[in-house]
Amino acid sequence: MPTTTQETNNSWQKDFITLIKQLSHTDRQSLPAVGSSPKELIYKENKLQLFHYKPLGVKQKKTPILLTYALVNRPYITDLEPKRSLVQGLLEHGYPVYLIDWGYPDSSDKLTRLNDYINGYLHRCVQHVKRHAKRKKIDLLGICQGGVFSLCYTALHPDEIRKLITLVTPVDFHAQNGPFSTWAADLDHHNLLTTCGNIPGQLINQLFKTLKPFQLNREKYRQFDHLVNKKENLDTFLRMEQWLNDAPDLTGYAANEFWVNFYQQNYLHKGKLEIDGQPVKLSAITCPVHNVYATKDHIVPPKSTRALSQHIKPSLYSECALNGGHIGAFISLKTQQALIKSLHHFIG
Amino acid sequence: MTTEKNEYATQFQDFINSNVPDEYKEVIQHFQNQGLFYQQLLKKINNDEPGLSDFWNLPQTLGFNTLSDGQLDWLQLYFPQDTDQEKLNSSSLQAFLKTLTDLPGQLQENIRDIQSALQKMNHLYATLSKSALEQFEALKNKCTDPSDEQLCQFWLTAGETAFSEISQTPDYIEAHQKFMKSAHQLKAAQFNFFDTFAHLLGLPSQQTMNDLQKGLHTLRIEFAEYKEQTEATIDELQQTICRLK
Repeated sequence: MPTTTQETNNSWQKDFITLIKQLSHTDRQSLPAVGSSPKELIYKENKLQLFHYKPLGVKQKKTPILLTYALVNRPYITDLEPKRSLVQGLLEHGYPVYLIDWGYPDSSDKLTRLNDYINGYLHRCVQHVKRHAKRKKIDLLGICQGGVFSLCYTALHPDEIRKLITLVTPVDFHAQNGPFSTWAADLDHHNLLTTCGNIPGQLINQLFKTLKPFQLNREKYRQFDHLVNKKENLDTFLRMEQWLNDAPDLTGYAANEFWVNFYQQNYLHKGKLEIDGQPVKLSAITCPVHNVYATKDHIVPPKSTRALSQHIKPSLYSECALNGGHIGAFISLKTQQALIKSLHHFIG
Repeated sequence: MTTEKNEYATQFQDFINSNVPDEYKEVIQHFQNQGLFYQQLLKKINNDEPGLSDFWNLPQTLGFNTLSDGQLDWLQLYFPQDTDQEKLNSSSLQAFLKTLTDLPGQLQENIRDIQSALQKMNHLYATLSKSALEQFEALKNKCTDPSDEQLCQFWLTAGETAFSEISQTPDYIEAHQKFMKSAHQLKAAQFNFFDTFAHLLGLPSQQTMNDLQKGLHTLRIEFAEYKEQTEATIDELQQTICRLK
């Protein structure tokens, strides 16, 4: 039987008052903690921090895994809360886990280029992890743009990486005529490069919200009975809101290089990308690569990420589909077990 | 019902005035804004009132002021202050734009380009709203006596479908590109404008500041590379000593 508008309004008001009461509760004087798995800082450079997570009481694997997240948003999404933590999942299997936090760039960083991120920051983090773990090679796990950096790095430094995992990582940026690549198509990059300061994180957030404007700006706040009925759900929601609104600015030059070389020209997929004058050929990757993508990803469509298979030798390439969206792929309770199982199977 | 309404309003106001974290207040305000939006939407649908297409207004959906009463919201995202995280407020940007409009030639042309791009986008947003309304009516007509939940789902489907269609049209892509180009051109003009004033006041030019930043950037990298080399050498030596022992 259809619900009347009056009933809908009454039900909404009841839930709204309950939500206010819950958020006013003395237990909630501070935001729910994020990224709380115990870790130590092992390296710091400018705004970048490299962390090593404290191992759990299980038999330890030898090869460390370095997690590399995108410059957009913060890497604590990999350790959002104990039940939704890629980091915890890896620690439980005895992997030594390291994480790069790129930090919050300011105007003094606006000249930072992709070369500085890939051959500079990332390379030095890899060296620190190798020394810290006393290994000659490490495993690299890159997520989204962090996956793109990981691909470039592994292609440029194949001797440093034992195994590479890319998670929801775009390769063919023109795979499905996404809005970003179509909007980028005709922009004059010389003009961009001469005028760029940093790109505000708030602007990038808006661009992502524009991909599904009515869903992401209105619908997600329409119903909240699932939040008021379970404290755990409300905690997760608040953590996600915190993460979504925590968007660092992007350094001007690197952002423009990324916009032009990847979204506009699709150079990585075309095999024409150069970083600091060095050609970046994905075919130069000689280690096993495991490519994990999300079937409902509206930011990085499966077709874009699966294009990686065209560049890596079939004997070295494997992939795994997760039934979720771009972020849900590694934080959803449903997909997380499948993800960890797939990683465990690949890494060994 | 009146008592309930009062209770809702009182609790909301008490919450906003309390010392709970600001993030909670933002969340509650989001829910309240969207709650009011959906209440008005359902009222409008059920009473068959005119003006339903306004409920697919894209700039408002994205949290901006409507283009007619405030174009500045869009511009603020493109012109943040570089020196810190503080964003320009409307009055300072307006003052800046007023100064710019007082200048002849290129700058005025840049602003005109932006306004023209925004007008074009405004027109496209109106087309989007119209298309969404048509799709909504089609969905609604297929269903006899739809519930509020179904109506909200139809509203969402109609909006997202209309957006995905229009956002791929050449007109929409061209309007966006034109807006971004003109925003960047204005930014370039902004640099020149600051440089002119900096020169008059005997302050370093943007180019000088850029050169200094470049120097700092290079030094940072060189230092990090030397440090890395040193640590690698120390590590190698320690290993050699261990082997020799």
